[in-house]
Amino acid sequence: MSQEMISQEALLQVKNFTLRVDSKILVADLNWTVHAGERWCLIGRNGAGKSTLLKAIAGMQSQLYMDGNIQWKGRDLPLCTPEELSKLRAYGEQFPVGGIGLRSIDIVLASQWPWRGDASPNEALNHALAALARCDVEHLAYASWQFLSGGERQRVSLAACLAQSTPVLILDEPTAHLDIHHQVTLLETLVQASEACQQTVIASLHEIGLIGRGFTHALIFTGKVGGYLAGPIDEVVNSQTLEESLGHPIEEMTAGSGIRVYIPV
Amino acid sequence: MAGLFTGSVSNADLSLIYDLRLPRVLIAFAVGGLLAMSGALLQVLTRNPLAESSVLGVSGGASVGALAVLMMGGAGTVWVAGGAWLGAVAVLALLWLLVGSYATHPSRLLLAGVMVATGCGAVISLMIAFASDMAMPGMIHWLMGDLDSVMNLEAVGALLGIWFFVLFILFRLSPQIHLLQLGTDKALSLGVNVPLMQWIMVLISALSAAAAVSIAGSIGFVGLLVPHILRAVVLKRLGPDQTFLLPAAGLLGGIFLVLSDMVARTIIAPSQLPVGVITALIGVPSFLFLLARLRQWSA
Repeated sequence: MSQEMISQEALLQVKNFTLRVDSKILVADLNWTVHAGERWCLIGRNGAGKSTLLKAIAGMQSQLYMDGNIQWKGRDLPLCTPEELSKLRAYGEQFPVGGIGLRSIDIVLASQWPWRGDASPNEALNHALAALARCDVEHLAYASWQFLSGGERQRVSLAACLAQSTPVLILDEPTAHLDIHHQVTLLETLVQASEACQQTVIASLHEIGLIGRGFTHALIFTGKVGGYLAGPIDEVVNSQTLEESLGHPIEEMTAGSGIRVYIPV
Repeated sequence: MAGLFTGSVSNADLSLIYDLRLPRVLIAFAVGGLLAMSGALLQVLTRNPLAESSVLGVSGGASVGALAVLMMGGAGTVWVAGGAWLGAVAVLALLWLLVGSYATHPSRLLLAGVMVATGCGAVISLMIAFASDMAMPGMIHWLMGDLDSVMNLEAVGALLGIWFFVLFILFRLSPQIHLLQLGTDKALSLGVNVPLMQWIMVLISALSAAAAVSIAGSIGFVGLLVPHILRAVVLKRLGPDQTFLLPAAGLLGGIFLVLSDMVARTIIAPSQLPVGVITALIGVPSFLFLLARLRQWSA
């Protein structure tokens, strides 16, 4: 099978999917296909269901509140074992937590658990340090988690996701708490990995100014009950759809560098 | 006893060593190890550095069971340990009913445990208030934790067996338990069967505590102090690596209680102090000292 064929095969397929929390419907009848190498951003208001949907496709949400079908590489999600999933996707939490006395390096090392035994302790350490370096937190490798700032924690958590070495990254607001420079460089890091080795990124996002910086597709919660728009950025993202989704007037502009940006007015 | 080192050992000394001292040292080792492992497990499970077996109410349940037997004049019988075991298991069953389907919310377990422990404390006070003058000293002694009532070899063997079993299980599961430190969601995403692992941890922790408490009464602080000392010593170099911390707690806890018991037995010889008093007297200042020294504990 050629590289081209693999990339055409659906990586994630969500069919007739309805998601509820208690009696509140978050998405209704969602049909969504993700191919390898695509970079999706999820956009919607607080409480729209971005996090819950990310957890659902990551296989980390109770089956109780969902109907429909999720398939990874043609296999039904409930049939995938936790071990299989851990080699397929990394999941970056919105609020990463650390235990008593954990250091950054401990968290990143622990994230290589799915591939235990494949690398020597030394290789694992180098791999972890490289992941920390990619997120610009190598200097904090041996710092205690509880002394890190919110943005530093977010970057360590992302480094842990990268160190998990999975073809798919599912990230819940990866740019939250980050300063502007790190928001942009982090997205660049993700784009590079994605372009170099077909890594797929699915991330929720509040910084609409970043949509144009590397995402290829968007899933927008329209703000109506269960409503959504999914497709390539050019087709679904514009000031009207964003306005409707976020409930705030949005203007579209093209920066001098040619990057399209959206600004709340 | 000095004869031991010069080669001439009288029969009386020998029987003292084999019948009294050796079983007691072995029991102290197993009890200390079990309490320390139980505490170390609960600290990871509840993500709370203050957790130890008494907060789950297991020690309280065991105390109620043992005191009930003592009240009815069962002092010195195997029923004291049996009653304690039943009490501990009853608390465990109650917790299971209360938090059964909420294993992924350890704080719920902690809350239920603290409530059950408080309830047990009230029942214990009630029992002491109504106890006869005959039974009272034995009850108080049991509550302070003591090792001198344990002299039969079956109990020694059983407890060492449980100690070894728990150590083995923890040795096997410690890599997954290590991942739980990153939070339940992260552990789940790394392929750990989190609900299963949490229930194994609750069970193992409660069973170790129940076994230890039913034999030796309520001995505090071992479960809190030993894991924290270990963490303080290895934190800088290894981080909180549970593959090291959990088995090491099983060993260091044992050594700590053997030494404490030695002090309890000899410091005002020929009288003996309850070992629970010594662990607390050593434990509290050392703990406060470490707390003052290590700022990392602001977790």
